[in-house]
Amino acid sequence: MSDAAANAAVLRAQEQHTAATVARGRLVIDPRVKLCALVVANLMMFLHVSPMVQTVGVLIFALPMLLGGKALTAAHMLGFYAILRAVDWASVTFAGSAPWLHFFGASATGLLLMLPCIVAGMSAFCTTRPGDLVAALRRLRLPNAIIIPAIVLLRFFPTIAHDYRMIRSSMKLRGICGFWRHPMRSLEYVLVPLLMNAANVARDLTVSALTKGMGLQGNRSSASELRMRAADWFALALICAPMLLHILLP
Amino acid sequence: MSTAQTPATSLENKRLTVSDLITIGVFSALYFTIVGVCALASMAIFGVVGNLLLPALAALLSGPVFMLMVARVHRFGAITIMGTILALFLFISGHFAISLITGIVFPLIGDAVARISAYRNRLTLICGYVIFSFGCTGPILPLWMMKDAYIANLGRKGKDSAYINTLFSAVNTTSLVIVLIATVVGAVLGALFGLRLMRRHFAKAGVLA
Repeated sequence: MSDAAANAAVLRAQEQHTAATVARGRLVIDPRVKLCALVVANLMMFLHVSPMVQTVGVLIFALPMLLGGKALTAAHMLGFYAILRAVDWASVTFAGSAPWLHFFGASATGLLLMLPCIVAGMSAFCTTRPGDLVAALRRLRLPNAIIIPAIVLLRFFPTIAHDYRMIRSSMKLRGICGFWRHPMRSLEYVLVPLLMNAANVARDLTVSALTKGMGLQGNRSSASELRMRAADWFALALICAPMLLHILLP
Repeated sequence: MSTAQTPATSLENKRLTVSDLITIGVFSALYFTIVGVCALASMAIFGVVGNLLLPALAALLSGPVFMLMVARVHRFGAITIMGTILALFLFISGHFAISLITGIVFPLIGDAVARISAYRNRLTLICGYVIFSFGCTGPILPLWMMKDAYIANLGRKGKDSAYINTLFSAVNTTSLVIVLIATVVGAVLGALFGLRLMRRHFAKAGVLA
């Protein structure tokens, strides 16, 4: 009896193992791999890699977005990159006759330098669920002093926009809009309720967090199981490819 | 981090409790929002160059957030963690790694300065806030590094280097000084604004304890 139950449990676990990599038709990659992508992107920026390696890097970093359901964002980023490349090429080739092109060329080069980092960052941001990101930070063994504020930030951040809209609508109700005529006063009217609300939210969150046992010692269980699967290792190898290209090519 | 009820010893005054960490998280979220809004606003108005004014603008608007957080968590590490969280999220959203370094070092120094008076003296609070505000200058440092890369790019194509240098030399030093002065001015004004809001609203509402 227990053997059959154990077999069934193993089969279920294996199904979940394969299913988790492709969930709902999207590719889910371990957040730690995306953090590695960020590190590689930074290295690329630091070492001033050649344009070809940069292009390869941007394409690879955009893959999590393309396969993870955020294809439109990825398309925007890649289109932006193509435009910047074109501006850069044009300014260098034609600048002898039109010196004012230097300004656009300089801006384009600056943006191009930052773009691998930005693409890697957008990939990490758009396609990672907050729970997965927090689990990854915990696995990296960051101290509690960093993780708890990060968790609170991720949960509280979406409510700020909502609070701001409510404050604006109640200001309109009372007829005290007019940001450009009294900037300091408008700022005060917006900031004070936001901060009061923030203080109350902090108090409520503390009570609920302490009830759930946050801050106690010991291993914490998590709703998101982070494991490095085959797809994650493959993605990691793919991410290191631009660095290899940079080293191998002159 | 234990939350056991101990008598008010000097050890307890130095430890950040879970309640403190949650407060820091909430106010860091507000600070992050303000920095993000300032980034969008400065880019919309001035273009890529507008990023140079980002630290000054963010320092101007974040004064109340900083002051209220310090008043509620008057222990060492709060300011440092607020800056570190911002630096961490800046790094994850794709800025250059140097923003991680500036985002941790400057808030740490600001924290140490404000700690001199146990977070009570207005002058040390203002100085601490000014130093803390340099923590978000990280994202714009690449602008000066970008200049070298473009010059290298042009040099590779064989352009006249003297002409290029005269073109870019003015961009370099003057803009750095302007950014520094603007950040300091913005931070001082923001700190005074924050202290004024504290006195007018939050002390009366009893939110400070």
